Amino acid sequence: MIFFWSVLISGLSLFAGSGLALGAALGLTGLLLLHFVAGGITFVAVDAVWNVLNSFTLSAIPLFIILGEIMLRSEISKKIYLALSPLFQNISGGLLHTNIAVCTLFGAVSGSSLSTAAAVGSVAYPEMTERGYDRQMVVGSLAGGGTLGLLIPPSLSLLIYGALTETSIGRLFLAGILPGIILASMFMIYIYLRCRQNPLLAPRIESQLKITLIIKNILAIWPFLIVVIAIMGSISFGIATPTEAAGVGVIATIILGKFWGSLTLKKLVEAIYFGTLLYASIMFVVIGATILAQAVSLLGIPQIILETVRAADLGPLAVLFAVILVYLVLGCFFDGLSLMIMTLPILVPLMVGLGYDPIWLGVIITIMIEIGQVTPPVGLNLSVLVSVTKEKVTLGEVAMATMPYWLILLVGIMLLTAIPQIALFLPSKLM
Amino acid sequence: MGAQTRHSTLCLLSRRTEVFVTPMFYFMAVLATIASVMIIILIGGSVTMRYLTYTPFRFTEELVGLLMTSAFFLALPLVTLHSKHVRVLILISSLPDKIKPWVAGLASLFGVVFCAWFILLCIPWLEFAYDRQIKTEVGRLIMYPWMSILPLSMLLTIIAFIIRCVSDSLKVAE
Repeated sequence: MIFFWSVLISGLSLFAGSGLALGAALGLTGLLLLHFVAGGITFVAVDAVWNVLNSFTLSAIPLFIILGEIMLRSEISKKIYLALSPLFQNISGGLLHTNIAVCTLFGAVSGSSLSTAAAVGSVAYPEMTERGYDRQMVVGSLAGGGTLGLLIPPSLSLLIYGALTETSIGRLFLAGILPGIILASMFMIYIYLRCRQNPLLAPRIESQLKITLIIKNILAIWPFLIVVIAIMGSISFGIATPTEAAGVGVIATIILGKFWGSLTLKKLVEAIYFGTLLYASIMFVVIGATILAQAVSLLGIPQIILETVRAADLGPLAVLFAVILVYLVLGCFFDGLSLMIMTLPILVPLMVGLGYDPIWLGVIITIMIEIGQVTPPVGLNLSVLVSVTKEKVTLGEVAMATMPYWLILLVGIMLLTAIPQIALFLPSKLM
Repeated sequence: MGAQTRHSTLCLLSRRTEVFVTPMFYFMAVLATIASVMIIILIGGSVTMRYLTYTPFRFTEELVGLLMTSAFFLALPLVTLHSKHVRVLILISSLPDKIKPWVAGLASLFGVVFCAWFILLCIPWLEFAYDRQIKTEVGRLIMYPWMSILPLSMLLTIIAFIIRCVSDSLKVAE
């Protein structure tokens, strides 16, 4: 065991710390473990990589990434943003609420929090800074709201969780809906209270807005809602698998972008091209983590940890607390997906063995990953927003502005632990 | 002086290699894009066939998997050349500027080791598939042409890592 942990920790620290591509760092550490600790069975690595890449379920990853890119380039996100802007105009916080609402809606078609933060951020940031909103408050709401893209289905993390743990992806997707909406509401309550306390953070427009105009604006985004229903409805009602739903979603988004947005052939080609490159960079992490996970699994580490925890006679809540702590620490250094792939082979048998529901666990892990996405220095959402602001707001400032949302996500975990039915209600009723 | 000459030659060689391989990497990335388009068409077509004519394509799942694998490995060299990977930069960003390129060069060397090791593992695996003419279960597609993309892509990724390594060392010299 000591040899295993030495190779694992020193390998990861050296390779990942040097700035090597994370996928190669994880994969190289996995190969070292297979070679030196597992008796030279490195040949299993190629098969493991081949099997992961040939998984039909995981084929949804590039499709959801491409879908997000098409949405971004066809300016659909801009249209939705402008349609929802008047809705919160007279409420304390104004467009900051719109950020959360649009992130929630955008999350319902995009599987990644990065695409959500980038798509909404690129529209909202220039508009809001021009209107005199506090820059830090704006980026905080965008970083926090962006995390919802990972929880509200379709979600890349729930997809990978389902594929790796052989848990129903349809049920996982349904389980993410209510917690996502509750977290969005909590974000909005925070914005309301904060802006009521300090009105300078969000200048209010004192104009009487006609309710008919608000309704008209909301109704105007019906084509977008059709895509949301097409994706989620087909998965929930068993009409299509998540991969098929993603494929159909891409086609629906292309049609939507053409007739409702500003999609041209050039923009479509660009979206698929850059989406494919983004997929390659994400998938490199997945294959590296797969090799490492294979080594960890073959060495029987999950069983050893499970037995150690059982022998320590810790209660399920104490173990959950320890797991959250580990995720918070590791979330500072690793990106969410690689963290999940590395830890799932150990975590899922451990937690399910302690009596936790695997669907509920998928939602909890996704929220932990969301927290990692907004935890410096690796927090990818933070980096995206720094570039959205053209570096007018530093990474540290974005991180500080995101801190309240970080805490709200933790409160969300406590809420889900106290009332697991928040996540389990919809899957039990609909599937 | 000798070391300086060797370094200049290495840089020149690296730049020439970069000029030579970059169009190839772009071409591969375009092929990866075409693979993504084919995935979308295949899935869309399969769902349509299933609900309209009740005759879904039998080979959809297998072909989508193979296309997804191809898309990843075809795009990997360009992603590496442009350093677009997910990376942990906490340590390297806190180092003094003079040391940074050395550490980045070392990271590229680790990348070369990983890819080379992976190629060595791929060769017997590919030979096995070729010798037995292994085919997919449903569609009976011969697998070795698809599998050969793995070592080929890793070889080109090694070249991309080396180019990155040399360009990082160039920063040291500057």
